[in-house]
Amino acid sequence: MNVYLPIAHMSVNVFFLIGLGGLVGFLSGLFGVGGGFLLTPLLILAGIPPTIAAASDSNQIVAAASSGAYTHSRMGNVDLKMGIVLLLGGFTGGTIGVQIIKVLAAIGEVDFVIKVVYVVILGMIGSFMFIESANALRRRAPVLGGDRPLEPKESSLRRLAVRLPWRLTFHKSHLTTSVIFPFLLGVLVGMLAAIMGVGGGFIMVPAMIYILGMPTIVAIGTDLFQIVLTCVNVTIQQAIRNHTVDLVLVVILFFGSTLGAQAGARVGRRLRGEQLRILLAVIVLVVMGMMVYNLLVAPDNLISLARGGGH
Amino acid sequence: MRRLSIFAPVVIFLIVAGCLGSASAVYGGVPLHVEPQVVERTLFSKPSHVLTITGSCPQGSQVVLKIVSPNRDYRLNKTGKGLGFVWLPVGHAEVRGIPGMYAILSSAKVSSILSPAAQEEAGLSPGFEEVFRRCEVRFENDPPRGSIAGLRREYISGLVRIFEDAGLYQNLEGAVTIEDSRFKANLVHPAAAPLGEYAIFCYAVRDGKAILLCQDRFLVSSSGLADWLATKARTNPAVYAVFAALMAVAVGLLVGVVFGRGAGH
Repeated sequence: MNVYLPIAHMSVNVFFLIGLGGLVGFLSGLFGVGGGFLLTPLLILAGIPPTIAAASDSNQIVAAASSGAYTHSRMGNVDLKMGIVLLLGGFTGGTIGVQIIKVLAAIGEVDFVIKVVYVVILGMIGSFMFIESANALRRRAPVLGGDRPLEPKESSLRRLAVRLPWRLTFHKSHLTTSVIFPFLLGVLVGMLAAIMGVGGGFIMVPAMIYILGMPTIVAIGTDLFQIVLTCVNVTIQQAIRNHTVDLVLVVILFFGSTLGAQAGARVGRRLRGEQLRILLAVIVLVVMGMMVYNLLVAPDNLISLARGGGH
Repeated sequence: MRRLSIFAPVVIFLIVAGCLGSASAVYGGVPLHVEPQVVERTLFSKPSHVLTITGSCPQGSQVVLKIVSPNRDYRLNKTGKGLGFVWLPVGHAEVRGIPGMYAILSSAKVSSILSPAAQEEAGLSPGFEEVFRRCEVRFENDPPRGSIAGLRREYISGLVRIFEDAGLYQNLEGAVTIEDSRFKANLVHPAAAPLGEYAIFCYAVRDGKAILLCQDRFLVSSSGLADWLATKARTNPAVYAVFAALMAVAVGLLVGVVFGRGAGH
């Protein structure tokens, strides 16, 4: 059964799109990432024009993340106070990142920088998470064997943050830290997200866990909350400026992704923090591997349609 | 002199009418017919439509049909090797005024019935040379003067290849069948082809010469919900944007409420 996408001007199999949305929604619910870094390339591979894939993906992530954020908030996993601070930092960083992109575009180096940043960041985060989670899993097996989740050790950055002014207590996250610290983290992730053209969930979740010291499940719930607002902003900008949001595509992806997000959130409850982290690490490393492959292997056609902004 | 200028339109009219009349007389008066004449894109359109083109042609001639969509502009990236080992986008350009669909259907191999010069003159080159001549390429950064022509060709060839892979550019030799001075061809029109008015040109080829017999048009338009959404997205983007965002939040929350029962504390 096919459906015609009125903005993309193409006909696509409905069940294929539902399956694609379901897969990415599952990961969204499981790890608290938006899934943009996976769904946009998959849609492009399916033949959807890049600009429409990126913009419509943002819109469907709003639905998937809303659904996941609601479920996590009912479970008490959303730290609203922390989410707002990170969001403010993210918006500031995003604005700075867009300016950096403009400067890089002017000197003609933007694509190179984006690809290199992608590979470096994904490689660093993926490797770090994989090693840390694998160690945590090894430690747990013989020693604890219990059900208390293992969270990463306290970092020196976190200890420094506690000494900074404007300290706030984030009850849900079980931590007291200076508001400057999560704000700056939001700025940094916002900048990277703007440069890399993604929502930043796969950077934000590890940063919240490893740098801020938030419990994994609260980091996931809080990240879903900030993703909703970030992607609402991107959707509105893309629809107004570029007319690239295809609502028919979005609705079909919703259908799969919202169901997938629910399933993901439920499976996430059954997994321990370190298990979730090692799974996310594997996915991040696979995406990085695909990017490295694309960088090293000559494409069939040296000319390609220009890609629009992502999220 | 004034009298001449008054008679000029009359003379032109008589010449055109005479030509058309003689064409009808020779080829049986059924110039060209395309079915359907309007291709409607609805929400549940198939990946492609098949249009049937029929008509009459002079006895003993071959037929070449050229189908051209409205022009569009495309932004492109060029990938090249950077730092000696990585493949990166190294250039950007916009190809303007290129048809989003272009098909040449013929009853015989074009290169065997028309010389390269005749192909070029009629715009019937199997390599879509007419497209290369007509469209415009604007580079994001001006290349050195000596490399402009090569780069221009490289960008257009790359885009044509993308179109060919998507079934938008077709060169089908033998797709036109001729029987008793009547020809017939099926055109596969992909859903990814642009909306708008398409032109069909019908050429009769004999003795190495291509003569434009007749031309017709068909319309590709969207209708129903598909048309309404496309129009709203273009004409009222702010409302469309807010609607899209609110709908996503509402659907997400609704699914969260429905599936979230019993999930909380």
